[in-house]
Amino acid sequence: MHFLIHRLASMFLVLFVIITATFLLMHAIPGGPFTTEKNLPEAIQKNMEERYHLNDPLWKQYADYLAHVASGDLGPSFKYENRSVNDLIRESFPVSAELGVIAIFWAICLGIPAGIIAAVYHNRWPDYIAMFLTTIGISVPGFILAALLIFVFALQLGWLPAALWEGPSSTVLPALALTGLPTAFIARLTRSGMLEVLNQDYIRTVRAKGLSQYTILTRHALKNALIPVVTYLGPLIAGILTGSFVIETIFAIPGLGRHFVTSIYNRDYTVILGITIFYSALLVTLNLLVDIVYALLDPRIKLNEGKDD
Amino acid sequence: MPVLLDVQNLSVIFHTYAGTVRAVNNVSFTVNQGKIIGIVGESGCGKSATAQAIMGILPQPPAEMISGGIYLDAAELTALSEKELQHIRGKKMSMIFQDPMTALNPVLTIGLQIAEMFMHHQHLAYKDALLQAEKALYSVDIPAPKARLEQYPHQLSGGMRQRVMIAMALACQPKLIIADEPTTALDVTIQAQIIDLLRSKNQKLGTSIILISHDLGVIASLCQRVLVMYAGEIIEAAPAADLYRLPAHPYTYGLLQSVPRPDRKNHGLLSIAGQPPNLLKISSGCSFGPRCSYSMEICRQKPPLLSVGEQHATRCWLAHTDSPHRQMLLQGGLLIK
Repeated sequence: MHFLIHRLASMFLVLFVIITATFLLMHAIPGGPFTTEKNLPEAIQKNMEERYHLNDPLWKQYADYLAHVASGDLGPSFKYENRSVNDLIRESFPVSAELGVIAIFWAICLGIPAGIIAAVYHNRWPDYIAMFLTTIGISVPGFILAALLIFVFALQLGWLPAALWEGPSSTVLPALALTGLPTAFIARLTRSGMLEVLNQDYIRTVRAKGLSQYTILTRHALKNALIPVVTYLGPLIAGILTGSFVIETIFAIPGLGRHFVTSIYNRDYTVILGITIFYSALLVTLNLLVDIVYALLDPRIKLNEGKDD
Repeated sequence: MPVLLDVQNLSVIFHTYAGTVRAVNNVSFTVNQGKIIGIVGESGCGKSATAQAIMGILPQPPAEMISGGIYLDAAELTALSEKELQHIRGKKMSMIFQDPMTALNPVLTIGLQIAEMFMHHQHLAYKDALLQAEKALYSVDIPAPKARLEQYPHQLSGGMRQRVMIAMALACQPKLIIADEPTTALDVTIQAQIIDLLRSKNQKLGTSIILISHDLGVIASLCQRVLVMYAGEIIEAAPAADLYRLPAHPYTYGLLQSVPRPDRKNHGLLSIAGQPPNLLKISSGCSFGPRCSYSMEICRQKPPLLSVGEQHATRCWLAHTDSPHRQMLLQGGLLIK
């Protein structure tokens, strides 16, 4: 409990620092949300800035923004009229999240078994095949994978839609394109973790006890080998859930990743900040979860430091 | 006493980057029921490889058993499949390892690690197996065994962990226990307790024990028979009392001489000159020859195992019936020199 309170407090501190840094950096970029190539009459420009309080001194804008954020209001979008940042996230996050959950599901379900098989058949052909595929998975960028998938499964075979977000069949290709890298990464982490664990003395003990290879792998080795994978999963999940700009653009998916990038081009201050805060909050929460999972996996890691029993 | 374990012509090699290491060469010995035999030798002499070959847990690759028959209770282990061996390991023979700090899984409870012996070999449900595990902990004098079941290895001391290892090894009442340096990682008082525990289990349950150690004191206090290994070979085999009284191999003599004697004045720490041989190279002669102060012309040929007394044999040309030194050897002459 003490641990949780401590961690929550530091999470808020981290978020505060992120908000401040993003706020300052954002205003340091030349131009503003209403800077366009067309020369607007000065009166209009002034009116718009007035409406969004952009002519207030910076410290006042900052203080107002903090007050709003504290009450859970991320403010109105400057570019999308009559829509708040909260609306924007509420609409697009579920799309990115659905896609992300599918991708993460496959990354875990394929990556971990592939890593285990590669480690068990270390330096034999299943290992070579797995490592060949993971090297491809890590080195081929998602957009190339996406283009290939669209070409083969949508254009040539015609099995799946090439783009848009309409029903379950349209999730398959973007999820596959998104899952390539994390699957390969998880497989490699699992493999190296497993190889290390399988050489440990306690695995020799289990073999001397007469237990089957299956029990050795599942009960004794996997829990130890998954610790590095869990470390990677925290940031991975946060990154994938909040959407990939590239994949969402290629497949024309109305996700959060797109808003993040376009908001920066548009100097849409509130959207930039809002999505940054959202992403940061997700990330620190997942890191907290990762720490809790550590303690579940390895009893030597104690969350309550100092309180030894 | 009937023979429990019979090891015949066991040879193990390791394929390494530097070449083939001949870790165990033509090792043969037997263990009778209810007896404790010791295997002594310095690091890298093939003690542990022999033990792991008997258990069938050599890491293959890089290890390879190139010859040998291992018979436990007249069953030929070397002819069994991995699946069949899994029902013998832990049930009929089990093993205790050197370092109790690393030999237990750090992320599983003590209870589960002992209980899985009963689950695997006696097909008990987890709950019943835990009850048995509690009894097993009790039988190795662990205080508050019920509370220990839910603890993890890092919460126990080294001595306690080795007791847990022994409880685990004894769980299914095996006929043979191989203890590979069970006391090396422990401090002296704990060593004595662990030795007492092994002795009492041997006397009460009639479990045969192979005790592997480089500590001659530990071997002397526990074993009825001792095998001395050097460079992957058994170079001397003798009843424990005879080995210490009448060592018949210059290497055994050297080992005994190098035991520190704080009770004697002006008696520096003695050692055997030279290095153990490189096991990558096959020597055609006596493997101890290059370090031996008795070395003769004939030592360039491999000495056979020669009898020097009842149940006492040595792999040294000094003991050959044609050797002029045989009489000296039989009377403990090596110790006199």
